[in-house]
Amino acid sequence: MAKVTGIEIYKLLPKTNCGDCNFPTCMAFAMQVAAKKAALDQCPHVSDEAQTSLGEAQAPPMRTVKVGAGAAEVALGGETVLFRHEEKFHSPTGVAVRIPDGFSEAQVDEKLDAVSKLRFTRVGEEIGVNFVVVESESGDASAFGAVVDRVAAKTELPLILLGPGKAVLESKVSGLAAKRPLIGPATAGNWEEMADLAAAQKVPLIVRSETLDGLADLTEKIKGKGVEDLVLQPEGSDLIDLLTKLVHLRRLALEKVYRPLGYPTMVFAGGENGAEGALATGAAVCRYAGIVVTDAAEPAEILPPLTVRQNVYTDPTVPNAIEAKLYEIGSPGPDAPVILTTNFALTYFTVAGEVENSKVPAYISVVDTEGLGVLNAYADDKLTAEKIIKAVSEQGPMDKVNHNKLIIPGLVAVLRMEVQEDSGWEVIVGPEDAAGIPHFLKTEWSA
Amino acid sequence: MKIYTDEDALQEPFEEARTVYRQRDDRIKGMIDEDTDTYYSCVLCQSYAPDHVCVVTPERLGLCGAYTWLDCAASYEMNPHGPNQPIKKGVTVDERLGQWHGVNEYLEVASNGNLERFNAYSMMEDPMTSCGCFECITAILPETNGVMIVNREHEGMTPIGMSFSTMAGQIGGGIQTPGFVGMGKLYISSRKFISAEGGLERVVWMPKALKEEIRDRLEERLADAGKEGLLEKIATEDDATTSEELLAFLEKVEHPVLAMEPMF
Repeated sequence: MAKVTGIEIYKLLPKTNCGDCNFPTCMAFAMQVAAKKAALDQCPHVSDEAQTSLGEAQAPPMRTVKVGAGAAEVALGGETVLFRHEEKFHSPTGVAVRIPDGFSEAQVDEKLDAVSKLRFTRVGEEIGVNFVVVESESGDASAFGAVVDRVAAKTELPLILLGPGKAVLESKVSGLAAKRPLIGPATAGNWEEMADLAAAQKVPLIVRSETLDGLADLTEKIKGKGVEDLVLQPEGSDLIDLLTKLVHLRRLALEKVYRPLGYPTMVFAGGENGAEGALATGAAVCRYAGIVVTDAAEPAEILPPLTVRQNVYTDPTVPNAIEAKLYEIGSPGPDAPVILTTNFALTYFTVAGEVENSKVPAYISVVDTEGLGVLNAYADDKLTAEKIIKAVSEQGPMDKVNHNKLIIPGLVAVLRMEVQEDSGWEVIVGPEDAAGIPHFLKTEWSA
Repeated sequence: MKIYTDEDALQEPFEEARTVYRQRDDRIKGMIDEDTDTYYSCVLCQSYAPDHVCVVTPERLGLCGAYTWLDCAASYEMNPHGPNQPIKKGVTVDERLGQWHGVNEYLEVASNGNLERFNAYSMMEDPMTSCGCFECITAILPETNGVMIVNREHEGMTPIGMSFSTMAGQIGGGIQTPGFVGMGKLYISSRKFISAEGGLERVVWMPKALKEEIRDRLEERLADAGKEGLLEKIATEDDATTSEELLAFLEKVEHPVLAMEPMF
């Protein structure tokens, strides 16, 4: 995206250094706006022309499209970079499970039941399926309507409604418009009526084409009808072709700031069997897909792509932290060990996992290190003897056990004497690596 | 290695080191950019600012102040695959701005496609990027039609309304920020110091400590250019810390910048 410089923004400001924006000078304010740390409207004296011209220049290269309403709302797109390390990825790929209108009531229920069970907790975060797709394969409005009704009554997830045209979709879309389903697909053949339907019901619309030119052509025409919340669905001859198109779409939108393709995407991912489907879904997650639609609803098919998604979309600018408090693993008794670690999520969950593996019930006292791991926290003075003593005293594990032993991470063995002298506890140096915990607890630990 | 803990005992080796550095700085003093067809790059800082490239010329040392053109040449001789590579200047694109075809070509590759053009002598148009290690930041003060220079050691507020550290956070990381440029202290007394914008006559403010530190070199430079007396027209934090105070000061001393052509 063409970056607007501080100087260019400064030229649009009143140049009075009045300070009403809470920055001492117009130049200082302009630099903040350029860095996107302040918004232009924080200046009460900025002209409308300046607002407009800067607004256009700074408009994000990819539109953010919201599907669903209220608590179930999911934001798609709004991406600003090709590679995560350049900033971060904003909208995790939505995973959507498809239900065709040919399904019997029992089949629909079974699928929805499976979907509702597809919720997992991983590294302290709940992950799961985001959308349910109902697709008309029969082209029959009443068959489609019956399945949509059943699905809408049984799931809280936002819906994606797919049908060959307005005739099949209209009554259900208007009935569910308040829940803001994503509808489609608009194609070269039906785009006018689909655009009319989306405009009338104020819902986002999927645009489908085999070629990127076809997509760009359709989005421009549909935008002309007043529908701007669009999702691009490229079709590919095979998975490689599809992934290539996803990459091209992303590059055109962000690098070339090509507005006709500046929208989030949706793809279908499938395979001969569950394993192939999971691979295809994961591959699409890795290649910028906004939504991936799959027929799979088995945990073994869905968990791998959800894991990939969590890995890819984790915000690298924010350390993944957990609450700093006393955790109990198993049912620790009075002779249970008290183990100390930091609140970086990966550190804590690795330690907790290994303590579980050891089958020795234990207390884990977690120091707030602002999401840093043991060595980083130590280097940054966020894990000190003083902080350790304060955290353990406040969390109180020593009151629950009949010994006074505290196990500290082996990587900060250097803190042992200071903690011991200032606290009066017997401080034991644990393993340097969490992998050593089971052995340590089983062979070396005794209350 | 020997560690001194007694401040008095430190004085002698400290002076010795300063003499060596002064000799180093003087060694390059007679050389001008036009004398050579080869500059050097420095990509040492790409470990944390992956798109940043320093282009080191005889009259513009690396922005950290640690690498002169001669240092880079020596570094290249010692390690031909190291962080300092020779850059053939090639055809001159713009003499005033300091833009060369060969430098542009090198830059595009070395910055991972991030930069296409670079002007050695301008801070307004395609200026050099900064990694973050700059000794000083030179920043535009549009109200005065001039620029201010602030060194890393200066902790106070500056007339632009940002401290050194605030500005450093915004212009580092290998991006071009017209109006702001990081530089080594030695470059301030260079003949090529923002020469596209008018050079030293643009400078309206710098911290007193910096002014004293580089006073000898600045006076020499100004004497060469027939601009004696300019140094006393450059304000310090004693004269002004806001742009209003600074403007009043500049008018009082009749700083030449007020009559220069607009910077943008």
